[in-house]
Amino acid sequence: MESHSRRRCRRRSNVAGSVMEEEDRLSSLPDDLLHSILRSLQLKNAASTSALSRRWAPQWLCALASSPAIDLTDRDFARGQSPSRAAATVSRCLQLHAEYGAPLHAFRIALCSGAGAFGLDVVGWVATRDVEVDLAPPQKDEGADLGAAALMELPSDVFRARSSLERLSLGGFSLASPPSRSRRQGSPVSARSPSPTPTSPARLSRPETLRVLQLLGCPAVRKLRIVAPALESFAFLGPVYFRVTEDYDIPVELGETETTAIPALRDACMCHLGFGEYENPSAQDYEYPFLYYVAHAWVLTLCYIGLLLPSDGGSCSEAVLTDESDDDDIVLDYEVVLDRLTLIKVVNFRGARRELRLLRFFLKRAPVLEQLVLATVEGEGAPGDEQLKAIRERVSGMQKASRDARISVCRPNADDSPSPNHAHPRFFHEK
Amino acid sequence: MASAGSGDEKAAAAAMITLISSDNEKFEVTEATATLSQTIRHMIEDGCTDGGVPLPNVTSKILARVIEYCKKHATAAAGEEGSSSSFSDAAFLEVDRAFLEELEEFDDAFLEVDRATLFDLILAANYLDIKGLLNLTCQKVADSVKGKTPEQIREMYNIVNDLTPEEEAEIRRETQWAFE
Repeated sequence: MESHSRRRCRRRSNVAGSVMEEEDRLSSLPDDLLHSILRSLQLKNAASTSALSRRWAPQWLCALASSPAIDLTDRDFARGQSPSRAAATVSRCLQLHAEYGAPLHAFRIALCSGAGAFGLDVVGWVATRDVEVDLAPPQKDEGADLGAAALMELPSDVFRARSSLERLSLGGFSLASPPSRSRRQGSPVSARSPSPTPTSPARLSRPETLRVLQLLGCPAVRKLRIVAPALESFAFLGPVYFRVTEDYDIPVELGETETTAIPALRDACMCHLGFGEYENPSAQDYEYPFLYYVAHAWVLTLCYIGLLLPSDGGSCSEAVLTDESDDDDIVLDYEVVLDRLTLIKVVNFRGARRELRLLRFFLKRAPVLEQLVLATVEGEGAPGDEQLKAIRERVSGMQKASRDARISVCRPNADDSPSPNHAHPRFFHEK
Repeated sequence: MASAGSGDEKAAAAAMITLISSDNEKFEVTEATATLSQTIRHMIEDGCTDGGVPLPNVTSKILARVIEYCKKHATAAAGEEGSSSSFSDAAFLEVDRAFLEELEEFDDAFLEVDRATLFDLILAANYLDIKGLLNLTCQKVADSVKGKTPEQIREMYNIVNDLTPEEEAEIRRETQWAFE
């Protein structure tokens, strides 16, 4: 500290312009300027300045903590140290940030460690943060297996803590069912249920201010109930499938079924919707459970609808437009009207029967639809020009509830629709 | 771009401001140039620029450079606005890109200064609150330490290592991931 203030005095006398060649002008800069310099360095590079001198030792972390976007996604940060040391650094950084009192718009971290190594730490980070937590999986190498990167188990009652969390994005996580102790103090719904079966879903509960939720590549999330009344934007990018033989449950539920308090979504995004066997189409309609939840969304983005068929060996070569006759209509238990839906965007569209069937369902029930955008799949399996034309004709010929709906079929890069492109096509190609 | 206030801007462009360096040299600049500095902009808004703006933290040598930067960037901004009405979109984009390229070249040449001047510019930009200049100069320093080891940075900037060997070893252990 003492040396620090001495330097500052020297700096002041210098500003007038007398320049001494041997002086350490860099260290003499005020903290906030040092921080802006450090923030334009790569994290690793910035962190290595801690060994320069006493003045520099704490600066890189201060620079990070005083920024509204804390980004710790550096590959070396995740891999080059023990989980406990990484966790300690993150906690220290967040603590500093809280002391500075600056707004936090984004908090990103890549973790790369065995399951559970960070579990409790992450709970703490999530519970205390008040804006966005983006626990993204590590940057992948080309062709690397995302699922194997980091699968961490979060207790699902992590959001019970009172917080003003608004945006949440989780990657590579699984969610455990709530432990029994939280059931005791939990909601009346759980308390009423006489014998909670092992299949009772994990819950994301009480994030009352949560507006944006993204679950990205969380393969182990098989049953999850999200009770977030303020939710406006929901994206689930990952395999939403379940096997017929196992159960008929819906993998992700929004809202309380008992009270049917389903959040009024503004936009919804889903991937790999409706997997399963395809022998008897009409028996598969429970595979579109999301339709109930997204019924009132304005913007709907879908990626890879019902293309992968894991139960018969992962073949994704479903017949494309071979069959001129339409399949039976989708029949749901309760009829829905997509009364606010103005934009549907389908990414990685192949023109498969199941896709067309779902589109038919949408078009019949969306009276105010303005635009339907079909962006075709890239690379292998990409439809040729002829096929593109056939798809356009086929879809144009469908019965529509909205007179004004414009339909565009395009290549992935030609898509300029106003929808935020949640579903990055490449991501799922690499799987 | 072509806002309703363009008439006002022309009037403002004609107004002159006097800046006074720490060694008492006077610089006449247009208000458009001077207001790239948020500090001076606030002074103008508060109406306390009559009789010149004293800048006791900035020498004439540095102030001359800062004004050179502001003039260039103020002209570029004005030029962009002027061109938008008289060109078609494509031509405008062309002009726009040419401006940006020219500005980039100017910035690169502008940063060809000795280290002492660079630090003086950083402090002046900070004091005068000129975001573009501050980013530019800080980035220059950041670029110079990019990929360097602590030893190299110390040597480059005459940083005295006042850590004991034990302290330094401890820091390197704690932040081990950054030193591999």
